Amino acid sequence: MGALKDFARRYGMIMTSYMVVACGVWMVGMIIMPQLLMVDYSLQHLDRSEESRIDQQIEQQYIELQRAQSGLRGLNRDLEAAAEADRPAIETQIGEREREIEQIEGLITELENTFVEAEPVYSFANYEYLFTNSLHRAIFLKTIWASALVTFIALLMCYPIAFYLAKVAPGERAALLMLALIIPYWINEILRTFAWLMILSYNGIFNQAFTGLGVIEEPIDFLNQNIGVVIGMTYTYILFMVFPIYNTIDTLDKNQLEAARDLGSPWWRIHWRIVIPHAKPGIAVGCIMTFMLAAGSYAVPQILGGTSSLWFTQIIYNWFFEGGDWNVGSAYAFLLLAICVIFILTMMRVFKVGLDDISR
Amino acid sequence: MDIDIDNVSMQFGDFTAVKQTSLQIPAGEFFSFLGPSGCGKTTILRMVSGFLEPTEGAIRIGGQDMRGIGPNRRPTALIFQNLALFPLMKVWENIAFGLEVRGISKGERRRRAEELIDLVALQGQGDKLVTELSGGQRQRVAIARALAVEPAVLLLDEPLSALDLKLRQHMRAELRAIQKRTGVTFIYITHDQGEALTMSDRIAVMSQGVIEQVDSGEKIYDEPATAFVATFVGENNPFYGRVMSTDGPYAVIDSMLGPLRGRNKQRLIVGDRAILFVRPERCRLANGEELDNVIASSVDRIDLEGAFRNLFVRGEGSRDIVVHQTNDGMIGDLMPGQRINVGFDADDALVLQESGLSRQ
Repeated sequence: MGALKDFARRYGMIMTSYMVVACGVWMVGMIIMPQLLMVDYSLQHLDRSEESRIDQQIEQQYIELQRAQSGLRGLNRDLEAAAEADRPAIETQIGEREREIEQIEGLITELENTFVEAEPVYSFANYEYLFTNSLHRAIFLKTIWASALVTFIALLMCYPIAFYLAKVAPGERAALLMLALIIPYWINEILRTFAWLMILSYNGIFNQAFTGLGVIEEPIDFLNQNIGVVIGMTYTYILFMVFPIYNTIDTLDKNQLEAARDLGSPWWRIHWRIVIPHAKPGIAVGCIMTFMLAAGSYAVPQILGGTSSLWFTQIIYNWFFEGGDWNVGSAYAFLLLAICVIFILTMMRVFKVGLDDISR
Repeated sequence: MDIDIDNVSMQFGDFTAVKQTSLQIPAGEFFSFLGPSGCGKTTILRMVSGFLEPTEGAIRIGGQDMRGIGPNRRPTALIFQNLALFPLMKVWENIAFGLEVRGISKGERRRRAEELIDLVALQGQGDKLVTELSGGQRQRVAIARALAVEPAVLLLDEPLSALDLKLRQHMRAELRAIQKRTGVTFIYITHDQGEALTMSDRIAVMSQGVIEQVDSGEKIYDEPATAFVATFVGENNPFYGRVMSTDGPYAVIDSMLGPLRGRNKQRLIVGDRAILFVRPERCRLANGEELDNVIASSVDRIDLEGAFRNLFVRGEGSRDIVVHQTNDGMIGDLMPGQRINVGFDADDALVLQESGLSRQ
């Protein structure tokens, strides 16, 4: 409250109320409500077993009905062809059949009256589905470890780049390199991913070049293996790793590096003892962003993934827009979110950084 | 270990930071480089520590040529202007970093760190973070950290400049005492003549990449070798003119205030452009005394500093002459505008070549 009053004193009432309303709309309307709605959806299970049981019974009665009706038609034909003496017996049979048909029709009407639409029931069934469906479970686990792999590769690639930019490259070259890093990101993510499709596809640049040079005998099928997705994703999200790390290393006093060196430290120990501890918050932020983006990516696996390299996001998409079951889709989406939150908390624990370090 | 700076030059592009400088510093000396910023003193320090390689000449430590030997493999330790302590490490870890690099076990590191903590009088502070210490305490940590690697030479780059006056004066004595106790060669960089004069065995006064004079503090003050040294170290009243005549060890210049006589150390000849320097404390009011030089002037301003007062007097068409008078109870009252005679002995004045000031 004190902070709010302070804010009001500095910027006036109009600005303050605008900020409060905007933040409120943002928090409630854009974050809390949709998430709650999703959680609610995910917990509602549509149990269609009763529905289908009645359906089956009705079906059964219709079959009976058809059988009875065809029997009736046969008896009618027999009646026309029969001798006078046989007729009374056949007529009795016809009477029986007609009663039978009436009975069946009554039963069908009765069954149809008991038919009700399935009511959603609150349960964890939607979540359980993921763990009972072995294919979905495998894709879920693969998405997690592949995202972790993407994060790890991006970290290995970006730390040296970030260090070079922040501490080694002279001013002008650093600016130029930075520009070279940023410019590709002015292009749409989908187009960038398509560029990788050109490179990695079976008859693509990579395979043509390397089979041509005789480095590999057979073209490599990147796209039907997860490797294509991992390469594409690492490239796509590399900036989100470079910049947080660059920002933290940039604030490191260069004299500390020289002091460590002067005290006899080899370069790897300078990194291990001085640079990496200083860059921890940046590394944590970079890892979190890269992991979240990779785990939640849809375009990259859609473009670079083949039939056997499905991503969990694609499964979620299918539930929503093809399977027609938003409830299971919501449950899957919520599980992905939960995994991401767990990842964030783990990173914060591993790197011993607090929320205030991250938000800097 | 002796340090031998042998005809060393340092060139940055077109700019020459240090010009063909030669200097020997014997082991165990407290040696200072004194000069204004940009005079090349820090460049010399960085060349000795190994962060810069001289473009010309050689630096030998203990007789061994240091060319190609990195700062991590030289028997030197550097104390940075901003200290460059490692903020994420505890005090003792900071001090023991150089030992950690040398693969010394943790127990032994801790023991050695505690010894150094005692040496710099920081008992009980070992487990604090350096950020929890005061400026003076950090200073001591930096000294202990540098001494931990048992360097033959300790290089100090204006380490006291961030401290306040009282602490600075205290640390001067402390540094001097530590140097005496350890016997390590200290090379001290400063622009503060007070620091240089109070601590050093010898001082090199530098200007524009050239050493103007190497001498003890007394000699630097009493017998400046060049006009630059006379101007830079301590207060001096300059009188510009040309040499009119010379007789033995003396020369007479034709200043605006008439002929003035002083010692002719540089053996200038008649016609040379020269400056006669006289210290304010060597000027006296000429109350009928026999003085070699007497200037008729009037009191412009009197600044009482307590223990002494500075008298600003003005001769015929000249700028201020400062007379430093000790407040011994017999200096008498003076009024601005009062006409007085100011004088000094020829033995207290030095005639030096003027070109020395604007030498490129």
